[in-house]
Amino acid sequence: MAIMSKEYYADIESVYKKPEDYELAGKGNAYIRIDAEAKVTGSAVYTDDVDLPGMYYCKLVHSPYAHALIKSIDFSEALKLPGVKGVLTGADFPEGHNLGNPEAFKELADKEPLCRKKVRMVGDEVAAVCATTEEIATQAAALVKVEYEVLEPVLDPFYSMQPDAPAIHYPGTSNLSIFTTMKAGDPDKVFAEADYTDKHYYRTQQMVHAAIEPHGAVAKYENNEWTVWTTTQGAYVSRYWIAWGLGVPESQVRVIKPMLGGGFGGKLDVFAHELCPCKFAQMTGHPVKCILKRDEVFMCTRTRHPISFEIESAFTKEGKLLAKRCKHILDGGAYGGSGIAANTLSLICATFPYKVENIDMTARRPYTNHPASGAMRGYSACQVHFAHEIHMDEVANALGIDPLELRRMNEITPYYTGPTGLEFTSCKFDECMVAVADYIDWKHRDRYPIGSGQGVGLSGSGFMSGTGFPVLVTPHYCSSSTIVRLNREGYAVVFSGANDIGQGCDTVMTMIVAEELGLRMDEVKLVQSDTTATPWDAGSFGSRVTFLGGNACRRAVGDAKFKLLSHWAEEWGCKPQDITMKDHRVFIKGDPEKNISYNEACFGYEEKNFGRCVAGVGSFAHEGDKDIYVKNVGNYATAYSFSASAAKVTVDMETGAVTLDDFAFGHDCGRPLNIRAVEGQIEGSVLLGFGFTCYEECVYDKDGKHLNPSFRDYHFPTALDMPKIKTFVCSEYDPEGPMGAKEAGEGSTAPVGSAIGNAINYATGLTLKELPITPEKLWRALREHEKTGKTVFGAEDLPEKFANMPPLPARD
Amino acid sequence: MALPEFDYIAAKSLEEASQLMVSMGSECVVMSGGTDVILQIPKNVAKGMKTVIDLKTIPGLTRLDFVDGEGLYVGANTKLFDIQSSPVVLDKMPAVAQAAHYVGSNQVRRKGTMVGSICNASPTGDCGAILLAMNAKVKIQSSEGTREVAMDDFWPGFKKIAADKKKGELVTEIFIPELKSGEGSAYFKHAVRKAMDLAIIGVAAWVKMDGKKVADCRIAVAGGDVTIVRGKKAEEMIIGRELTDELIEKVAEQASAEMNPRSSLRASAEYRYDMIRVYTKRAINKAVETMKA
Repeated sequence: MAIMSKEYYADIESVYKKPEDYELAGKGNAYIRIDAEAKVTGSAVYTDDVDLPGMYYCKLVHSPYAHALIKSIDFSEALKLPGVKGVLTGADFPEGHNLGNPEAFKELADKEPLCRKKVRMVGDEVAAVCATTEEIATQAAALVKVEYEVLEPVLDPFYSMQPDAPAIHYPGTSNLSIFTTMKAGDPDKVFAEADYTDKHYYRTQQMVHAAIEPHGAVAKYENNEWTVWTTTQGAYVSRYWIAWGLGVPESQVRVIKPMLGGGFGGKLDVFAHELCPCKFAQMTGHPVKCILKRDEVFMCTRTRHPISFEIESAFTKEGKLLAKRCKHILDGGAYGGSGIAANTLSLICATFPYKVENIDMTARRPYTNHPASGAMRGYSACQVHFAHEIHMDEVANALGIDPLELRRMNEITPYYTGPTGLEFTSCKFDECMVAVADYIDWKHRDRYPIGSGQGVGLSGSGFMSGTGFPVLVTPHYCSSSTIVRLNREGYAVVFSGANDIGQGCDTVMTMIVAEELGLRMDEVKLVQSDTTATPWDAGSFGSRVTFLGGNACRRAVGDAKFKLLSHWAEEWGCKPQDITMKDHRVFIKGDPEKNISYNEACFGYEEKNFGRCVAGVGSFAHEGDKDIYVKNVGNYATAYSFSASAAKVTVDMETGAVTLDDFAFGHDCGRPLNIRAVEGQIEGSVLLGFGFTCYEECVYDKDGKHLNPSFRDYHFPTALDMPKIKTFVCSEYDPEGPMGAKEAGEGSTAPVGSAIGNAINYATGLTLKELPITPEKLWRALREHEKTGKTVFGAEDLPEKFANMPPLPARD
Repeated sequence: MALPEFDYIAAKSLEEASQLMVSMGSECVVMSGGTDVILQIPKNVAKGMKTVIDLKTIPGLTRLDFVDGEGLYVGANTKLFDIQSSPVVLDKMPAVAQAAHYVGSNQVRRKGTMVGSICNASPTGDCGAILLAMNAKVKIQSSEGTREVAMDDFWPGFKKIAADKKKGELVTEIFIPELKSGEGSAYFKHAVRKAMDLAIIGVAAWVKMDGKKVADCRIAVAGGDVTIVRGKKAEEMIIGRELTDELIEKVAEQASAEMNPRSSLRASAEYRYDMIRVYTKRAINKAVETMKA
């Protein structure tokens, strides 16, 4: 589907700089991050650095039970403490104003700002206290006495769906928060006739984002308006849900996103720690701050969905992928929020990066009494590509085909349209795959005999570049807008709603404007992510910021540029497209008479237009439909990125310890606008993927209590654990991307786990179907293999669990 | 980390620190680098701790001297980073430098001290096992004088040390005897990640060879019991015998068998038992390989 607004923006796009004239975009060392100085010197202002006069502090009271009814809350002791200024319960917020994520699925919003009658996870917020200091607030929170009636916790997602399981939210719904199907072709017929069919099971664990900055918010109430500084990945979406949760119009809430110390998907939803300070600020007339402690971040924010997989595939004996059936069971935890997109993403990714015309896939997301699962970098893709790409090697080995060739034989090619309507544009998957395989010397992989303790593994993946879904209901599905003002004093201001969460989009937006106007980076001033000062943007998620926000930004600067150049074209008797903006000058190439400074150009425009300044407005939409989240028909994103990984590992066969010796990553991100940022994203992705594969897991006891909610006990890899990483950017200009770019933040996490997993499997001669592969788990498998000869480990309980699932409910 | 309120006294002399300890007893804790102590402050304040006494400000406690014919002297304020990077320590007793290097991170090692590490008395502490295996001695000082305690007697029980706080006793120095000809030592820490991690187990071995025979041996295990302990039966099994792979395998099994590790979130007892076996083997082998000629 063509982007419908292209015609509307045709004039504006006609004055865009041509790729051969780029001086910044894609030039590795042409510019540096605009936030580098502030971050390196420590002067950057994060949410916790916002200190206002007379500020009070808020602390939340959490449930110690995973599933319980609240019988009573007694604040009497807490209120006796000098310095305590107020307390809150669920009854202080309007009933029925539950928090969720997509406005279009508001009926699925299920989280009360503070629980009224029932708690659904350990850490669920039941009350809040406000005091003059953080210490007093902490003491007061500990003095709040809550009486509970404890209910049976539901911790197994398969049990949760059974008719006899206690209802977590709504009785009679099999505890399903959402289910999604994706069907095409005639898979039953193909399976019946295929040379090769199989059925395999896999499972991934729960992990967390572990952003170094904990969640927090500061709220102020003045002139009947709330101002909220908060750790959000989307100021506008947060504003919507904060206003809804408070029961006030959006016009009375201003959300400002200060610097953010990482999001990774964990800061998309709105939480009690944002609503409670707002309420307290109104009650007390003082600004109120609430910053979560690390254990609160672990328990009360979001996690990555654990997924259980049943995968069936049908191939010809030559290796052509004919059909895939799969069932994905996602442990949704206690709430929906941004988590409800996980199903769809899991199914779309299950087809990537291959052509498969016959599919029958379902994903169910039952609630459990675990912490709420939500969006996380490489959303669903990390889990899905682990299972499906380990599976790909199992198929290759069963068919006696080189796993590299099996992948190449079935890979997506440029401008392919999938059977459910996914429309691919540029695709350099093959180049990525070949580059990493060459680097790791895949051809000579036999030099590491199977079971020798050393091995290499490959994996491929794809991801959506620019989730079109705008979260809130917007005109024409618009998901990003930008305003650019040109100033006759020699600079430009870009008012960007894009939310920099550490990934560097502030720099990219600044660069796009500087590139188009021929200004220096420091001549472009950025006003960012403030619902009063900047226009609408849906947020940083779904690998959409560079693609959608970048396009909106380019159209905004294009609009201003077109106005300016149209004026000078008239003066100079030429077409706007004949005029160049470069080195702070506006000129016609080769004509020394028609060559003025940027300042003169703006001044002249304003002279002619009665002092009116040059400003441009731009927006970008991927015209989609919310139905894709339940029926999965149509195109999900404007473009798709592709990645491939190759890992070399050494396994200590006595201890089970895995050393990642070498890692190669090939990524197709279109034209990389900031090569160093792309490399940084890829290196971070390898760290995340390695942690996912070998280190990280949230561990719970039988009552649903989190046993390792700290950075001491929840292990992610350190710099010393990291391998050297070789990055290959295999790109071509994407026709729809801003200056040809596609995403580079999330898809890059997707193939890491399975490349490492496949390498471990070859190194040990085992097949490991469950993450994480910790030293002890691998040691256990190796010892058992020695004793019994068993070779396949993990997910042993899943065949029975999948066989005993209740049928899917009927779709309304 | 937000800390509760407490008093902080930067001591000017050992005498001052010692007197303060006598007068405050259990209401004070002593620190140098503070990398363990600060983590425990919230819990200790809840138990009635009111004052932190800092030894860092006392002059003369940063000794790191290797004396030929004697061994290595490590002061109470000597940083782990200095030990790990000291050319003389790396040359004369590399296993000690390695043990120091295993602690926490670069940042932690530039603050933390070896004396502090052993006074924290963690059963999985990174420095204790090599000191126990190398038969180090600890100097304890108070107003009543100075005494020397062998590492064998330094940890009387779980999280307990031989220095008595109520008597104002302070550990001022560690002495590690030098490796003589035919002697070698090694230490391995086994953890999930390579930095910023607590040990699952750690094994240190000190071996004195007489030709092909083992003249003497000390094996120390972290994570095998409530304190860092020696594998004495394993030592008996190896002493006086000719060193072979088969013997090392048996000794490693014995060292494992005489431990009593617990199951925790970090690792099961079963895994710890086997890792003690694996690393006892590796530690003995490395001690012999790196033996002084």
